[in-house]
Amino acid sequence: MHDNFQITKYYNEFNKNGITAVFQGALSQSVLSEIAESLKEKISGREPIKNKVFAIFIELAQNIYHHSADKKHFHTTDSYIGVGIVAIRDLPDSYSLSAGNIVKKHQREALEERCNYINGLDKQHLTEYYRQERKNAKGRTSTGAHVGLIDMVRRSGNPLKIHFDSISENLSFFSITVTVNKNWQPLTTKIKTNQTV
Amino acid sequence: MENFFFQGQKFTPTINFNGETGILSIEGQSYPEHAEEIFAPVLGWVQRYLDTPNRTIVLNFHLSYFNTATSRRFQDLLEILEAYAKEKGGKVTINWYYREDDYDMLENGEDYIESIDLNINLVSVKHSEE
Repeated sequence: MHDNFQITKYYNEFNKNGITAVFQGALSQSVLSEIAESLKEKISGREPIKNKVFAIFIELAQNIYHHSADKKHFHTTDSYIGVGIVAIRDLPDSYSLSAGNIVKKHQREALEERCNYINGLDKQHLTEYYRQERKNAKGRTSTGAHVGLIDMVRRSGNPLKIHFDSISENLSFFSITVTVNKNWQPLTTKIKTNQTV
Repeated sequence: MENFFFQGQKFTPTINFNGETGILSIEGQSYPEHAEEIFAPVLGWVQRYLDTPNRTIVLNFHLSYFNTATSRRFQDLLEILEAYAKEKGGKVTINWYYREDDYDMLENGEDYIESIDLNINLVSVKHSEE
């Protein structure tokens, strides 16, 4: 078979699109940490913006780890780790974080419904929904808090952009993009502080 | 009772619970993929510590970041302390430290104030002091 793979194509494509970091594969804890910590160095913006990019990257990557329908078995730890792709782009006015992974039909339906619901909430209702969902998480899952998607909208102040590409009758490729505006400012300046150190 | 100590790494917090003074602290950042595994021994220690009624406890949260899986364990920890204050005469104070420009960490603290019936102080920390 003739192999016409050219890595320069990807290099040029990544540069053209302002890619700061991209990773495809199993999102193990060590890979995730290395990328996340390196983002702190690579993101040159204000501290709150850096923290938002860091936090949203971790939630996106950990969603892949837990929820990707494509899992890789690691012999050393005898664990199954979700496979997917994550990319962080440094654009003129924003940082854009994208993630993608394979999902099953029932996941697709649940994700569509949940993202649409979350995108329709204003800041106050988002806060209330987050608090309620975290309390309710106990009966539902043994791992997460079931609030990752809400958390990303609260931090970014922007809606979730999602897209599905059908692979087969039962599988789809799920893409999600979260944007952090470089000129982000807090909505309210009221701070309930009891003490200042 | 013996103290509880866990040395944090990049993605796990340093947890220091002093059984003698009643000062408990969680510091650093916390984003393990399996938060439940990290926090199970912590919650176990706290439950044994609270077998004794009427203790005075100060819990300091001093974190720069924690993931949502960790936030659920904090909720569990605070619920245990809330029940202790209500049912066993515990005097519990929570200090929630956040960097002055970290509105997300401030909001995280406000979430617990609304969700938990305990005295939670929000304590702003200036940049330069970090």
